[in-house]
Amino acid sequence: MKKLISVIVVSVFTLGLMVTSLNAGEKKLIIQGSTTVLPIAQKCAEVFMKKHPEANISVRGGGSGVGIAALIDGICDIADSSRPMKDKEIKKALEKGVNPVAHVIAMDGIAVIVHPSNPVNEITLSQLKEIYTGKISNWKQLGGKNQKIVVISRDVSSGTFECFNKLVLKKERVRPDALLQASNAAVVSIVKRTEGAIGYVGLGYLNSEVKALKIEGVFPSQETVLKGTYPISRPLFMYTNGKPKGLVKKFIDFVLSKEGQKIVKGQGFVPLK
Amino acid sequence: MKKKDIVCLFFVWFWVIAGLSYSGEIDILVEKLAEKGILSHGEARAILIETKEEVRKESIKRRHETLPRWIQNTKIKGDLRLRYQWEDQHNAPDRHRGRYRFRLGLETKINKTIKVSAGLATGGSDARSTNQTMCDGFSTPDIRLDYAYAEWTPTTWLTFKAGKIKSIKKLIFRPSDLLWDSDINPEGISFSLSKKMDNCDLFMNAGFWILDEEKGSADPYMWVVQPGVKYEFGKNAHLKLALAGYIFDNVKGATLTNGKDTSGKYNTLEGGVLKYNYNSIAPSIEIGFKKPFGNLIPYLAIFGDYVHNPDPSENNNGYLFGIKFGAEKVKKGTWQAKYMYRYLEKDAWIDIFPDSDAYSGHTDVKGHEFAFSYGIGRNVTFGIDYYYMERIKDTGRKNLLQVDLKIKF
Repeated sequence: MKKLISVIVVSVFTLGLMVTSLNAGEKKLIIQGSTTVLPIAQKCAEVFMKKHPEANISVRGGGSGVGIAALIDGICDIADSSRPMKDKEIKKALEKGVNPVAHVIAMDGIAVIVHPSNPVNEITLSQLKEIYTGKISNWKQLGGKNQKIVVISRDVSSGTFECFNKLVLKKERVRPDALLQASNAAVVSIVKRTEGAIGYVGLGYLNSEVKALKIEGVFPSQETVLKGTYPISRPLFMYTNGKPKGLVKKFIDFVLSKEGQKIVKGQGFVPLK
Repeated sequence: MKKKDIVCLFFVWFWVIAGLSYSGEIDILVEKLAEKGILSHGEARAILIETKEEVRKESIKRRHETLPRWIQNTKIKGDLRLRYQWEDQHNAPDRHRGRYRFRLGLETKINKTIKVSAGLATGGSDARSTNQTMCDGFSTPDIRLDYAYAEWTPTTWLTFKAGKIKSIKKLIFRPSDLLWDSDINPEGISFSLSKKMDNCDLFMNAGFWILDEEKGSADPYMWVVQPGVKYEFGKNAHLKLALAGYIFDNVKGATLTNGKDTSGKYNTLEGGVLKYNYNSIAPSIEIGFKKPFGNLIPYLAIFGDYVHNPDPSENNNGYLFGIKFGAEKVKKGTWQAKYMYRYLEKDAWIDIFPDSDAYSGHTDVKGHEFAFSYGIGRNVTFGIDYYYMERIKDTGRKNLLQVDLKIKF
């Protein structure tokens, strides 16, 4: 019995010490979730902390689902998400006494680009899907030159690919001979040098060296994305538990401020202002 | 309150309370506000999306609140597993067995911090198996209490559980079943503590578990304390490391049972009772990588367990190492393959707790295990598990093949 009591005492003491030491810095703001939103959250946190030296913001990725689960479990203060919460996530949150409130902080729009000499000006979503899944392989099939289509895609870990995959490919596989690039800038660089190439980039990376195609008759622009007429776009969210207060409110307000929205634009996304 | 918030709240009220059913009307109103320059196009779009999300939430809330309180707070879940099993054992005829497992569980939330869970399952009194073998001319099999416990979570980082607690794999970090069969539901008290930090999660699991009640002598029980850490290297790799310390009391000089097997089949006995103590240390490790080869292999992990019992001077070590790849969690259309090699010496660990499929769950066992599972539909999985096990010191070998269809609900 003495042994049992001593083990209990030692364990409780150890736990107590651990809890005390772990809780020493609990006042900080924890942001977790979407890897797409991660660069916005990181940059905003960096600038925000310079302006508010007392703030201690920790930003983590993990994916939208992970961030939402963390918000529901009370582990983070803000959940970054590149999709709306699912019904079952909302239900689970409400059951746990968490009131998820959505804040749209930016729009994500993807432009489809070709070489400037390409005579094709517009394309439909289904044609785009057929190009990327290998069913269309020559520009002639789209009213262009008799030229093989060189398909440029992003690596599967990128948020841009995630968005393109969901809105265009509907989760079908990209053709195996597609050239995978690690960044938007690399896609632009290849497309501008390759006549038969097609690629896709965040709206912020469009320039005069490549030609953006109309999708379903709509040209990709900040205006068409914000109006909701351009089809390859989606909102990016930050979720909070209830209406934000204190440091959480200050941070959300900062992200939605002119300065925060400038950061959004700088990261290749479409700002709301 | 900001202009955007006021507009958003107004539309939520209008839609939910006043019952405006045409989302198009709200779209037009917001567009008008944007055209007149009261809102920017971005703010207008954000309002529409946020309003839609708020309305969706309100509708889920209302739907949920119309249910009786006990249904709102109670979850029922279960599974059925159908199995074909082939066994080829040294000096014994081959066996072809039809088996099934049915489990039904219930979880009720008592208040914000307390939950009570209970589950029923097929099988006999064996702590390591809930399988029911098809036999005895369609006789009606038993159904038993699989677990019944209360869970108290006073804060997000601390959880206590007491009773017959569901699943050893939720109580301690164990990447393999070298020491603990996954069907074991310990009895006693457990608690877990966790703290998430930047790229690093600290955790500590502990438990006081009662092994038996002896009427004429001291009761055997055990303690486990397992501190650990999970460290994330960027978003695509992690390392999880833990060190478990086990303390057994009143076990040396006693015999233990798990409802089917009695200790000492392979542990060393002296005078018909256990000769050694089994206070052990057991480190565990798992290193995981997301998409190491693109979409072809979405997840790959290598893992291992080790155990050392300092009491005996020989035959007192055990280890397992393995690799798994494919989907991290098998869902519809995804697969996972796994390989493990185990080596568990005679007195490294008590012989009534290890995986019951690895040479009937004894010690003095070494061998290979290959497993493959595929999600053939939503909540429906097909799996194959093959074991080739041999005795380390003694003579004997056993082949075991299991083909499973698992249906969860």
